[in-house]
Amino acid sequence: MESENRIEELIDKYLEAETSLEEESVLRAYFKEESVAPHLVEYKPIFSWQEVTRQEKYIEPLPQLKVEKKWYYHQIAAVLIIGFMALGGFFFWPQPQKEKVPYANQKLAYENSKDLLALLPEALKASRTKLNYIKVLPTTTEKIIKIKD
Amino acid sequence: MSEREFLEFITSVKDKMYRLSLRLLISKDAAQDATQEVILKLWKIKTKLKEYQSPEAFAMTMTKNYSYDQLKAKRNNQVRLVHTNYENNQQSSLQCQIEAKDELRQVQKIISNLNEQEQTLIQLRDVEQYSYDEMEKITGLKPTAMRVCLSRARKKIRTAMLKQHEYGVRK
Repeated sequence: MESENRIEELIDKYLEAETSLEEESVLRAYFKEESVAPHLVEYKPIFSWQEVTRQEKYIEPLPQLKVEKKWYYHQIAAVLIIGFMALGGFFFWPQPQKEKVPYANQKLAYENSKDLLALLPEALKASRTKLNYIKVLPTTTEKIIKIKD
Repeated sequence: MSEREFLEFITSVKDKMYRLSLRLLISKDAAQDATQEVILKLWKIKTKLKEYQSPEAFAMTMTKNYSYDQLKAKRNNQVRLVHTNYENNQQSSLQCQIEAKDELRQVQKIISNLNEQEQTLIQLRDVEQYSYDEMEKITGLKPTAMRVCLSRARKKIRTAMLKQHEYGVRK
């Protein structure tokens, strides 16, 4: 229990707004008691008003706090649309068509190439006979051009 | 701030926010509306709340400003609100309760006659027990200005209470 003198001192300080929070809690504790000095009684309601006011509670439920889902929906929609467009482009883009060769023509082509390959040895043979002329060439040149010593 | 953090934060300050707007707006309904509005506003910027040095001080500042705006609007509409509901949680005999209630109502009346700034400061300091640092963040006032204003408010309450007291005695 604080002495009356101390309380008076604190009240003076309190009125000048120079008390610390600790000193104010000393005052509050003093005026909570039933036995308050008669000349200080008029301060009691001021401090009990503070106590009572502090009891007031916000009991209403919190307001509806909406999570912003709209934004996500927009994003999902955008991604889906882009996805579909990409897929559509991939599947339906006009591609250069490969020419399909009918089966009959394939057979014909096979025969043609076979014939061509068969001609190859003959062609080689013919060119080899022509090579013989090359051997003749130096002898004939010696006959025509006389090399000076 | 995540959703859960936000809820925890709001739970810790909502009573203080409500009491401050109740002090200024007097009517319980108006104070509830104000608190709800400010909570919604805070929810909208919840991602930025962590950047503030003290989210609590920021929430209180918003409540204060919102209540001031409401008061301004009301003054323009010439509406006076009277606070009649007052609860007394003290445990004493019935006679004492009635007397206490009466005295408390007097204090209440005196305080509601103070100006907005004085009421705000009394609320923040004497009811919510904020430090001067925190009060500075909430009100944006300089410490010296706050002390002068708070001192004036406390003296006004004391003088008015003394007057009441003497009146009672003389009668």
